[in-house]
Amino acid sequence: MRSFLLAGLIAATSSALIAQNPGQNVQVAVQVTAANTTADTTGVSYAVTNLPTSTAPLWLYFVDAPGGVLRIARYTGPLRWTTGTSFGSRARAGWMLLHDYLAAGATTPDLHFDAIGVPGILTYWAGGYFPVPVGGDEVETDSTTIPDPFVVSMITGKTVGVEPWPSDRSAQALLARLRGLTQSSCSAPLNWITDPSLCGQLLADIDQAEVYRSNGQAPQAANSLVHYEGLISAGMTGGTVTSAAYWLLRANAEIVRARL
Amino acid sequence: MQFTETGVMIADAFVNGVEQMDTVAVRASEVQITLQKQSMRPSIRFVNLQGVSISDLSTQKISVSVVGDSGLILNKSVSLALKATDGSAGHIGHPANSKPPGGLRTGGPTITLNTGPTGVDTVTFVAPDPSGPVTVTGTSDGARIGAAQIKVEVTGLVQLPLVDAHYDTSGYKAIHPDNHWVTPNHLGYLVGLANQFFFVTTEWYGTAKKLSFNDSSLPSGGLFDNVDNTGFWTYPHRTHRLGRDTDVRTTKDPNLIQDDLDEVRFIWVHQFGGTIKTEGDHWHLTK
Repeated sequence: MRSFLLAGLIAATSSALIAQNPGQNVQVAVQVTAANTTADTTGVSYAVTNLPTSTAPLWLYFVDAPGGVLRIARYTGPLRWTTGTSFGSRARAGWMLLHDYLAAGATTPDLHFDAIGVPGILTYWAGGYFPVPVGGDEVETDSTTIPDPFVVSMITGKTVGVEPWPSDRSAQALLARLRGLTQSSCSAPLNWITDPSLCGQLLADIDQAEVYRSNGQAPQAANSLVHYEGLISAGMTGGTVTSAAYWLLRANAEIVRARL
Repeated sequence: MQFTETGVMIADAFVNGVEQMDTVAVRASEVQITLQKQSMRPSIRFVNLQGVSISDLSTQKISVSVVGDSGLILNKSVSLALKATDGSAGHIGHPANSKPPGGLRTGGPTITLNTGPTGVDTVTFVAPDPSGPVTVTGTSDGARIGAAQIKVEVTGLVQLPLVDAHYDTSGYKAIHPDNHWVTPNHLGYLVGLANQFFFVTTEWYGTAKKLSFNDSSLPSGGLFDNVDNTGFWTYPHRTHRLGRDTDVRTTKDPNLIQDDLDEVRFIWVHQFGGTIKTEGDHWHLTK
């Protein structure tokens, strides 16, 4: 299944032109391999593939983490990397592969981090390896600004990350949030769910859950969400739901069910 | 009447054979030099590695007049001359009187002005690339010499502590013994890099590795000349002028391997938002 999804992702991403800036000469497929929330903490794992169309080895992968990073795993296998939890004042989970940078066509082992919050749609950055530029004389006037490396030497996209808990944690508010996430997954630019009829069924399940919830019928509302999760799982098996949508929506549906 | 000394003049005259004396307070005429600012940043001029001339001049207007007993003296010729201060701003042991003092208008360190019909002339002072005090001296016939001192400096630099458990410092030379002055922000980034690198390498190897910080800036910033290569007052160090960049040894440090350098790059660029450029056996860390 994973290879099938990956092929779809390659097809979806490889049409873009490869950028010319050093570091941007990569194309990646970011597969979410897990997103689970326990108590107030969510852990997310990724497998990042450096697509065969890349002209540079993959070196860096970052995910925005607006609520801060609680834990980030350092891999100790043959493929070594180092990790970071911030860029300036912004919290980001970051991994940098060491010396044996990831060749085109290869995939990382799981990259995992934990943060307090709920699964959400967030920005990722990926960067290809390039040697340190020769120089030492570019930034030496008061008016010169240092370029943002995430802008000039990395590519970017959307994936599942962890965003802070909403201020309203009621089942009603979280159901409304799940509806919004479902709509986003079903529409451009994400297009994480490509079957329009499935999208309609998913939204119908959420709406039905809200009706039950507002009538005080919590078990029935929960059943609607169980049905919703079943549709997501079937869609993933059928190839119309990406791993990002699967983990994003399943984890958030479980969060809602726990609060009914 | 123009006087060259200030004091009391005794007037002595015979009127109809009778001697009459009186005292008159007099003020000597004097060249006055008025600065827009007492302190200013040094100029930055160099040709970068791509052959492009970089020029970021630091200038100010200097007003010049000759004031006599009755006020401004009109149409008076004044000669101005600039003199840098030997041994200042961290430049030790350079040849005497060799330090560039900057320029007046677009020319060299001397110029002749005329106070004209208003009694005041102005001239643009272009700061030199090296920091240090520059004395402006004005002379005019029959008038006392006027002078003013301009501090050419990058203000606010602080010294990187030279001894630390997590990094080493290097690059001292007899002519530049004070080579680790930086902005407070840059200091924070350097210390943060050293600390993080120390702890990460401890985790990786069981024993820590320390980075070696070579030249940063001189105590007042400005041109950091390096006589080993090209002679006095030239710029093998094109940068190192504003306290925002520091050399860290790379291939010159046999203790470091590629993983270590990757870690340095990861921290400096992708956590601190700085830039790194390589030059020979070292990297320039800029932020």
